Amino acid sequence: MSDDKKNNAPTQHEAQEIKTDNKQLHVKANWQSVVILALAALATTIVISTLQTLTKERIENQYQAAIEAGLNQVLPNIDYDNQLSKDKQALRAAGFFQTSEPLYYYQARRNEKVIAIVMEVVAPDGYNGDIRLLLGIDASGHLLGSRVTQHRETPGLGDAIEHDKSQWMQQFDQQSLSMTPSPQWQTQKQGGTFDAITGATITSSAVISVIERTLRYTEEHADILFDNEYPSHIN
Amino acid sequence: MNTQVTSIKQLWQQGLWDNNPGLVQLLGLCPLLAVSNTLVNAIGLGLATLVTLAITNTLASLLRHWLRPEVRIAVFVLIIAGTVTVLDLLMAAYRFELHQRLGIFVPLIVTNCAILARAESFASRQPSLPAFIDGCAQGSGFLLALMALGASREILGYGSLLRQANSLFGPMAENWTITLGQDGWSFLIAILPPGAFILLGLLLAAHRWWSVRKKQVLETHPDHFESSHQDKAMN
Repeated sequence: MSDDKKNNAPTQHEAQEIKTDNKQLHVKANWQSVVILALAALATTIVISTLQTLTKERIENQYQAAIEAGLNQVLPNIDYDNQLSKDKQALRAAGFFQTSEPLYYYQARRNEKVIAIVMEVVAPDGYNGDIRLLLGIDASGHLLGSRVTQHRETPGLGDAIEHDKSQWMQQFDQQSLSMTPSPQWQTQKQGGTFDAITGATITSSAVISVIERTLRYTEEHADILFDNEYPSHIN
Repeated sequence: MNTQVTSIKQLWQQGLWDNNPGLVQLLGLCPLLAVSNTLVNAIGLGLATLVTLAITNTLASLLRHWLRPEVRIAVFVLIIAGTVTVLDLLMAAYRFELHQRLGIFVPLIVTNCAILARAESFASRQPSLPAFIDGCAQGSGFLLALMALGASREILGYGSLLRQANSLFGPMAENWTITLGQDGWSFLIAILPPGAFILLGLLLAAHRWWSVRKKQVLETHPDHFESSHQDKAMN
């Protein structure tokens, strides 16, 4: 540990010798250190890259399965036979949702025919930023299920929009614009039909309005979303 | 620094209580506070840290005669980073949901000071068996600290225990969640960062109080405990 510590006692000549000895020791030491470090780095790299190759496919499958499971949650009791995550397309006129980022939808099919869609939408007017949701809608315009996938709402208040924190989102199941026309899509305090979360009116309004907007979008673009004019497309 | 081989019992006593990395050495506080919001998350990261410590301590000990002073720390960092990356890949492949929930804190195990500290101060000066046991002991101490904090935060904040147990223990654990109290009874602050700090402070105080009390008991009854002098020297 102390090879380079110089003692104060020796004569100048001795000091010179020690200096040279130390220098030689240093040079030898440097090469050894380089080799050791290089070997360690090589060994680490080999281990990591081997494991990465071995687990790559499995991790990718897990990732796809997680997406698929998430999409499946908003399509309860829908018997579809395609792999949803592969049937993904971009929404046109996404500016409808007051956001500049691309939004997507997934088509659930049975025997090639689209029976339901999952819309990936975002409410930009949450209390603390964007609220991202997955909404499952069937061909008759009814909401099948909803899941909030990302949000920054207040824990204990706005986070009641999470499905495992409260059942607030369940009031939208089976809703449609035919059941509740657009002007009624507000909180009860604002004259509409929906319950707001106590202490989280901004969050509640943001979610209510994005669901209404999505249902309206679906109505206006039903032919494209449900493939009525284009029975099959190549992905 | 004590380079004598300490007994296995002493290693465990040090790691679990007297020299607990989280509660006494105060190392690794970042993950300790961040992932202890639920018990399952705490156990998940605690186990990952424990496995890392056991492996890196053993490797550091095995390589101790070849590592020149200049490259010692660099090689330790390589070993730690390599081990954590391997663990990260395995977790992503076999416990994907937990891995997603722990997020960046699995790779961040690399920065846990407790690991580098043990490698540098103990493992590199000891034969491989004591080093391995020390790694397990220190890791277990950290796991216990995490579990204590995780359990208190989850009970106070969510009114439950072992929520989302299936992400760690597999599908058979889906019913393991214990729910205490009804909906709406919860101290929200326990889940948030301030609550984490406060509860950690209380945990540290409790540990300190208990240690001091144990010392007092040993001092008044020295003949009852044969290891009393050793313990005092260690403290």
